[in-house]
Amino acid sequence: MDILHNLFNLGTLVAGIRIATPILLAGLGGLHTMQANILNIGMEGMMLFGAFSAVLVSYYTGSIIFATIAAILVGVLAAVIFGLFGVKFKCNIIVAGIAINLFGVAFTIYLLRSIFHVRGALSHPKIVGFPVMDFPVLSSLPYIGELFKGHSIIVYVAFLMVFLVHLFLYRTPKGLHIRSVGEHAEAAASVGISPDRIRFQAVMISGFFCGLAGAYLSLAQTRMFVENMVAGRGFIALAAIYFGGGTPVGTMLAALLFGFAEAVSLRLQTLGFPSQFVLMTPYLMTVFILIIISYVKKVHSQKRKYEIA
Amino acid sequence: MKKNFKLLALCLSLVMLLGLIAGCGGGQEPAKDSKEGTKEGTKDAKKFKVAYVISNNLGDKSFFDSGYAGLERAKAELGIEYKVIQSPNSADWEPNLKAAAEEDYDLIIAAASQMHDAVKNVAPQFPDKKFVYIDDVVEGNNVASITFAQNEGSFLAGALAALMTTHTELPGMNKEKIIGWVGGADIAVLHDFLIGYEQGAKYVDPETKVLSSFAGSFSDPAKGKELTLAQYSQGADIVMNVASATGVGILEAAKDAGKYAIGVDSDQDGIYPGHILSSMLKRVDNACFDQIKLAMENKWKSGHFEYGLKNKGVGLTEMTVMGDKIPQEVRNKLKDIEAKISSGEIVVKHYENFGVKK
Repeated sequence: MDILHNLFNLGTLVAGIRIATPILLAGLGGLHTMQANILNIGMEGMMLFGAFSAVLVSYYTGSIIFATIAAILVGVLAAVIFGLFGVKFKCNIIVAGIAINLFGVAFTIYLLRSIFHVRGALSHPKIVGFPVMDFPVLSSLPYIGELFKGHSIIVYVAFLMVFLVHLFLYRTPKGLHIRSVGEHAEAAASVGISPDRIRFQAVMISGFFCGLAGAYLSLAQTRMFVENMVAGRGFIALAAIYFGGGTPVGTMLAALLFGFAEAVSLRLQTLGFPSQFVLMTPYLMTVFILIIISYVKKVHSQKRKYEIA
Repeated sequence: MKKNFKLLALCLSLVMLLGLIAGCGGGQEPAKDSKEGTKEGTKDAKKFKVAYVISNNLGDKSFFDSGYAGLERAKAELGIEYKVIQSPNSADWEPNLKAAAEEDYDLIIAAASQMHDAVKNVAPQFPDKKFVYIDDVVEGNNVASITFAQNEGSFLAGALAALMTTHTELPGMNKEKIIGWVGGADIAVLHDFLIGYEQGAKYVDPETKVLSSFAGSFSDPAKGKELTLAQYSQGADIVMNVASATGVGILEAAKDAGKYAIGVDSDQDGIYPGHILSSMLKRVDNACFDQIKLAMENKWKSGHFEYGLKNKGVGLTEMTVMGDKIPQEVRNKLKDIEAKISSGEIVVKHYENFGVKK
């Protein structure tokens, strides 16, 4: 009982929200590319670029607003490069994604050394982080109020974005275009939508969100830049999108699930479970749930077959 | 959809590969040619010459810079001449080492552990040259292998944490006898740290509970921070960092939560003043200086030597940043423990025979 209380308390949920936020932000971007039928594995690199530029601008200007803008712009720029090769010049989209990821790691290391003359990690009092705040009204609720307290401002922004993205995708013409290009590009083209143009725009939107996710990692969750600090979160985000069926709300639920699973696993280790096993749990869970999803889909489609027959 | 899954699987396996490459560190950086360090102006045949061949660049504010400081000290106190040959590119290590051996250096110091194969291949080709290999063991008649007793240093860190965890007069300390430890990847050398830390804590107070976790990575500060915050929420008030760049997140967690951490390898006390009790140092400088001195006095021997508390290879900082927040009685107790370890009265355990081979 004591162990259960140790694992599943409000603090674990709060930590889960913190861990889920970068996955959610990147996922919200990546679902646009998924809806446009582009497999965007370059999110990792875009986040890393965002994280670095956020720290760079925060260090030199001391302004969190400029830092956020810089992270977003650089994220979009990285996405443009990805889109140029993957969409416009039609090279293999996987190769373009891997290229962005490798380039991101190497180039940020290079810049870290040449601008700051440090190896490995940069943390400095001059790096200004995102302010922390309580969410109005909700934070004063009894018991669950704790969940809406003391987060960095960008956490609330991320969750509000879920609804904005939902409105954008399902209630605006542009959202419809993105979905139609993903569903059937030729059909979309036949009614005068340029599929490549829409795909490119979807890639740029993913860059916007990845830049923001990077800024969250380097200025909210921590206040530092470390070589390769995204550490696979871009890929977890990709899994979260698949998991959530490409919808904003589904992606949010998946990101939260990952976040809580990780928060629990961080606490499991101290209870004496072997670290190798515990570190595996979020990934194991991903595989497990993907299996369930595809099984349900299979059963569903078989049922339909019988109905037709 | 099915095709996408296949692609996803492909990508995920590629990421793992990528992570592996990145994890090995420094693979992506541009190769730097061997670069001359500060060198004595004129060539003096009588001067003792040392080559410092390292598997990365200087400027890490830790391991390699510490060795460099030892050379500087030897230059000032013993009047040696030295050259630094640095390259982060693994393809350069063996040629660099060989080049140094072919020249007229009296002593060749190779650091760090990744140079293992280079030392193993080059040293037998030059039987009359003296090699010093730091951080792992290579056997040979002309190789002195130096390792550090991180377990002894960690014993002191664990003792310090156990002594301080009940000092509730410091803000953020709770009365529970729980302390924490967060490591990077789950590897043998880190377990050697952990085993010493636990033993040190239990030596001071057998009731002390040590929480330990691994981040599984040396470059994920966000995870290091979350792990540390999780340990604080489970009652720990002091967490030892043994996690390189992941550890910067550990130290930041101490500051953000208003709790305490212990640094590692180099002096990290000043990073977040008032939140870092002390740092466990690996004194590469002392080991290098010592080996140079032995060689100059013709007392140099090949074999495996462990630098522990006795020969000042490891230790804690003087805790000047914390100042009088660390009570004198705690300092005295630590000095007492240090003396007992040096004299052999306390035997610090190694992780499954990690360390000196008898």
